[in-house]
Amino acid sequence: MRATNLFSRRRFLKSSGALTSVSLLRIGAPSLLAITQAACSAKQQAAAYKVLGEREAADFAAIAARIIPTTETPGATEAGVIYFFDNAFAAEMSWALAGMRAGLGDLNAALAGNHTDSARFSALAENDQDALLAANEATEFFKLCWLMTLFGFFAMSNHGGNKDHVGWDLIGFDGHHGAW
Amino acid sequence: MANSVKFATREPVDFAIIGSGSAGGIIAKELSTAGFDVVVFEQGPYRRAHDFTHDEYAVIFNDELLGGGPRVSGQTFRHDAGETAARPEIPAIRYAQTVGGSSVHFTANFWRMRPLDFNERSLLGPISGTNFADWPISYEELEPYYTRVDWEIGVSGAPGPFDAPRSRPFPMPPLPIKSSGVLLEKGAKALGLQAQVEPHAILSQPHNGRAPCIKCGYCMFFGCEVGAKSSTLATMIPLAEASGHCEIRSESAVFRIELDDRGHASEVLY
Repeated sequence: MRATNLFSRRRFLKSSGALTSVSLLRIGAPSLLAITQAACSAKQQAAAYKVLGEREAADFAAIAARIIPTTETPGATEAGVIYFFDNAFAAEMSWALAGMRAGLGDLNAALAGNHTDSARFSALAENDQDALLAANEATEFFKLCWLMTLFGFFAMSNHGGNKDHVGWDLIGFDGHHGAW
Repeated sequence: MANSVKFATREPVDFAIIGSGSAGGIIAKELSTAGFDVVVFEQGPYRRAHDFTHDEYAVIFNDELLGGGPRVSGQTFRHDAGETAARPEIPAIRYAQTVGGSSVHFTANFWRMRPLDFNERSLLGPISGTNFADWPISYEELEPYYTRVDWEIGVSGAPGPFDAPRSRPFPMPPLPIKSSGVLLEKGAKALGLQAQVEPHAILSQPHNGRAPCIKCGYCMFFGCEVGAKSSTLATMIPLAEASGHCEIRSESAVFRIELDDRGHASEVLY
């Protein structure tokens, strides 16, 4: 996989929370399964985020939606990629949260009158969003958004994204052949 | 699945084995089935076959089987005693922290060394600045043990034209060649090269009460969820535990070996 400098795979390997984030599935006890199912249904009702605020979540979700847009096929929005972002920032990628918040601040600061919601990234027209992202394509902020969007679209659903396996369906991947 | 025996923390045992991988797992089985009381210390958790997933994000990017990467795994590195050991950005060695050690996540390619590999110093001459040497043992001396391992853990394969002699055939035929292997074989033939199937420490047929491979393709980096990969977790450790003389003490990282007055190892701190 092509990796960026600051947020390279090497750096990514330093992250720490994977054990916690998948431990429910690995333990597999019935009571934990019930908790997992409750968490899933809570997610379907647009549950509160673990670490992201509503406005920054809307911005990250909008960025992801331009990286994998919704067309005649599902995109990052339908896959719930933003929940992957939130889960990852709460656990194995917590090291990146401050830098990503700063990056998002820079992106919004580039917009005139950035103190109102109407001038945030998420409120821009898609064409304007694309232009702004293209201008920031070389930043570490964008590169990690891109990488996390791919993860959130294609990684197993227990990490928060790839809801109902829409990412796998899109590329014709039929899951794990009846195994785990 | 409960351990068959559990020793008190201060209870003396015949052997303390540090690590449950390819070496530790086999030693544990040999000693415990011979009647010695054994405790195996493994720093990683006791994952069973059903705990293993195809989760590439968790296993490959977040180092789930490697203790979560150097930030949390506790692995440090220094070049010599004059340096302070630090946690490197890239681990000095990537090994699995789980019962069965790296035999759980390895590719399971299971080539034998060839006779000439033991005599490279004699064949190639010295290399300046190195202590390059022949092995003190020969292939012929090692061969019975290779064969014993092949049959005890279960190795699939077929003899190739350049293989060293075997005193006993493979215990089972090779795994089927998948699409990429078919292409490689075709290309090799076009170049006049001889391709052969790899020996694998993966069951192609039932063996010693274990089920064979389901061809899921998640061997390298991953644990085998059906126990077909012949790790010590799937092969030796169950035999050791069944002996009633072996406790696998997981999530127990040994950090010091204490010596008695005679300079012999007397206890481990973990």
